[in-house]
Formats: sequence, structure tokens, C-alpha cells
Amino acid sequence: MFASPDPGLPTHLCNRAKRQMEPERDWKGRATLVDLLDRIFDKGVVLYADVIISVAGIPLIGVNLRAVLAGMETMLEYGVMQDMDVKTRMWESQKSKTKEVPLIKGEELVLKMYGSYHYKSGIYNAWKSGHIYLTNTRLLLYQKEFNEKVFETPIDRIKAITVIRQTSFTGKDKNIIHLYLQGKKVVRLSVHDTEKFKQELESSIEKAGMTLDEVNQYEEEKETCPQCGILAPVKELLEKECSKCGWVSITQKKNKS
Amino acid sequence: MAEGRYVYCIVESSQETQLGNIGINGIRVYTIPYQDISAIVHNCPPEPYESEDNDVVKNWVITHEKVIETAWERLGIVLPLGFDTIIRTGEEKDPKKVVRDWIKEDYQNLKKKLDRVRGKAEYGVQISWDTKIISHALIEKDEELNKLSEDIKSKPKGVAYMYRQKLEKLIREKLLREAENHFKEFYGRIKKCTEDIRMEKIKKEEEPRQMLMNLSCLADKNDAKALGDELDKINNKESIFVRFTGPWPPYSFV
Repeated sequence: MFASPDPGLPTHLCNRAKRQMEPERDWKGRATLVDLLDRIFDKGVVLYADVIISVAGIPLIGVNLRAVLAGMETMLEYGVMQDMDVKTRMWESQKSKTKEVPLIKGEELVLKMYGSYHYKSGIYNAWKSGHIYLTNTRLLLYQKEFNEKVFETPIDRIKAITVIRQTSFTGKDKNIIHLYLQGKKVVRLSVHDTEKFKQELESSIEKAGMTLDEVNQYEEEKETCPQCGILAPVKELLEKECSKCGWVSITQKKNKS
Repeated sequence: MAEGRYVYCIVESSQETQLGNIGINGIRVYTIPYQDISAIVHNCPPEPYESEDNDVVKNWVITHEKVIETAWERLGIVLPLGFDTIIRTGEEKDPKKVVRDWIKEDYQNLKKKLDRVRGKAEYGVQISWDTKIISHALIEKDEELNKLSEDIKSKPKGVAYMYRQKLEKLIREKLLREAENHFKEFYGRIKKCTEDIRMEKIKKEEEPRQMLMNLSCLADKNDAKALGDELDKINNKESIFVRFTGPWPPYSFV
């Protein structure tokens, strides 16, 4: 009989079997049926005659059956679990739908769009993705999975908006939205539909009674001051002086004299 | 109308023989001979058998195998065909003639194959080991690993992590080497008591079990004692497991 050890037994017990090993074949058991399937679907005399029925699609039934017998791991390998996977994902997305960002009383949702926010803190910087919510008073990016507001600003702090086309690391061109906030802070966003987002944001700001500034005054090129190291607009450094330490460029000195 | 003949196997026989209603879905199975070679067939429409129901397919597959075994028992040597091999006829042709024409065309080749598996059967041999137990044994046996694993105990958490990574890497390397050695050794020992060997794909097993080799072996149909004895010795090794299946019709050697 079958001398191979039962997988359930501790190894030191099963290896002591001193019986003569005889081949096993009993396809009531799951294991040998798999052995049979391996042979019956992949092997045997192959006919290369044009009288043979095309066997397209045939291996599929074999694969299915094999997958059922072989257990979960193989099932995943063969994609049999896909149905179940789809169900799980649907359940997950249903569940997360109920987790909406809490709005303040009287606040109205204008737009919800998938997007990401360029997060920077020290040496750490990354694009954090989630849903961007635009309400009549706020703009925020919310990650449902972590129930976290990654970024949030009242819309009346947005002073200017511009879209910059940039090549992303995937090699595709991507629209990056730059929002210039009060206090010269720049926020970088990337959204699913840039045009729509920009329009809605602009009209919301307008409705809130604010006007947007021209972008160019925010877009000044900056350079570090050679004397004190502060980041200052290039124009200011070259044509006037450093507003912090009073450093004056050589050209400017010459001009003055 | 076009017709089909489902072919189970090729046998060495010149007789027109009825094997009874033992085919797929209880259909009549019989031989179509050409000279001294016959095909074991049943009549069917020229379409492949397909089903979404796994139990149905399972039944078909087992029936396919049982028909081959019946023929094997009654008529001697067989060349098994894979599941769902159907020969189709044209509009006017006699199905019997189509099958005969095919055998005729392939006659020399089929003859050679029949000779090759005469009195032989196929045996499945799968050898696995328990990587967990083997790893532990390695650590105890191997000085380098032993020292490293002792060192980990006295290290602070962060350093211990690094050491453990290093240890795991070393173990993986040594396991690989050990697996290669086992493979060479076992393959050589099995080869001595078999006619021929086919290497099959390694199958994934439940952790920490790992398959080292998956072989189809051609050996005597009625006497696999030599192979069994050798496998016994291998199976008795610490943490090595042998699965031995058969005798199968020689699917892998045709």
C-alpha cells in the first residue's frame, strides 16, 4: 500500500515506515486525480492530422478542474479566483462609499474628483492620492482608506492658479496644477480632469467673492542670496538688493556708481 | 453529415473487437483495425466535449482513463491519447476509412512507439522535503550558521534584524545547494531502476514542503519492485517525502 507519509503526521513518525514502497493509484483521492489530469490533458499520442478536431478551448476545462483540485494557490494562478476577487473589491468599494468626508454644516459639495497632492516634508516628498473635494468654502484631499485629510485649505486663501505641463516619471505628459496660497505657499495637485477642476475651482472662488491674481507675480524665478543664503526672487537680487541682508550684485554696484 | 470518432488509445491488435458500453456517457466502445494496429474509439458528433460542470468533466476524464485501462488489460500494449482527441470525417467519407487512413499514414511511427512501451508502464515519482526541518538541521550542523544564529540572541533588536536577514540568505543558498545535490543523487539512483525518465514541472506545495523533483518513469508494468525499493530508501531519509503513483498507461512516453 501507500508508504508515503501522511502530511498530517509529524515527520519523525512517518519516515520510519519500513514497508516496501508500492505505487499508489486511487483517484477517489484528490491527489491521484491531479496526477491523472496532468497526464490526460498534457500528454498522450499527439496527432498532427488535419482530420483532428481543433482542440481550442479544451485545455480550459482541464485547467478549471485542475485548479479546483489543486487548491487555492493554484486557483489564483489560473485566475479562477477572479470572480471572488471582483466580489471582494465590490464589497470594499461599497463599504468605502459610505465613508465620505464629513462636511461642515451649511457647506456644499461642488466637485469630487480623484487626484493627488504633492506632499513635501523635509527630505520626504511624494504624491499622495485620494479624492479631492471642492466645496463652496474648502478644497481638500481626503484618503478614505486612512480616514485622513492629506491637505486642506479654505478657498479664499487661494490667490492664483496655473497649470504646468510636466513629464511624469512614467514618461507621459501630465498636467500639474499649481495653487498659490496666501503666504506664498505653493500647492501642487494632479487631478483626473484638469480642465473641469480648474473651471469649478475658479467659479467657486468667484462665487465666494474673491478675485484671483495673475500668476506671473508668483512665478518669479528664485535664487539663493550669495551672502545670507535666503531664497529670493532673481529680479530682486540682481536689480535691487537682498531684502534680508542687503547684498548687492556687482552689476548693480557698477550701475550705482 | 460529418461525423466524429473519439479516440482513446492505440493498441496492438488486428481484431474488430467490442469493448462494451464503457465509454464517455456510457457509449459503445470498439476497435477500428488497420493491419495489426487498432484504434479504440466511440462514435460522436465532430465536436469536442466541453462542460462548465467540474463533476461532469471529472467523470469524463476518469472514464477516458478507465477505457484505456480496459484496453490495456485485454489487448496488451496501449498508446494512450489525451482527453478529447476526436477525428472528424469529411462530408462523404466513411469514418472508419478516415481512422484507418490516419493509422496507415502514421503506421511506422506508431509501431515504433508500441515496441518502446511493450510490457512497460509509467510511474509517477514526486520527491519533496520539509524546508523548515532541513533549515533547522542546517543551522545545527553548519558551523557558520550556528555561530550566526547564536550571535543573534545577544544582539539588540535592530542589529538582530540585520543578522537574521543575513542568516536567512545564507540558509537559502545552502538549501539550494543541498537541493541540487539531492536532485543529482536521487535522479541517478532512480535512473538505475527505470527504463526512461521524463522530468516534469515542479509543483507548488504547502509550506514548508517543497518539491525537489517530479518525474515520470518508464518501468516494467508488473514489476516495479526495484524502483519501489529504491524509493523506500529515499523516503526513509530524514524529512524527505516520496509520492509514488502508478502504474499509468505510458502517457509521457508516446
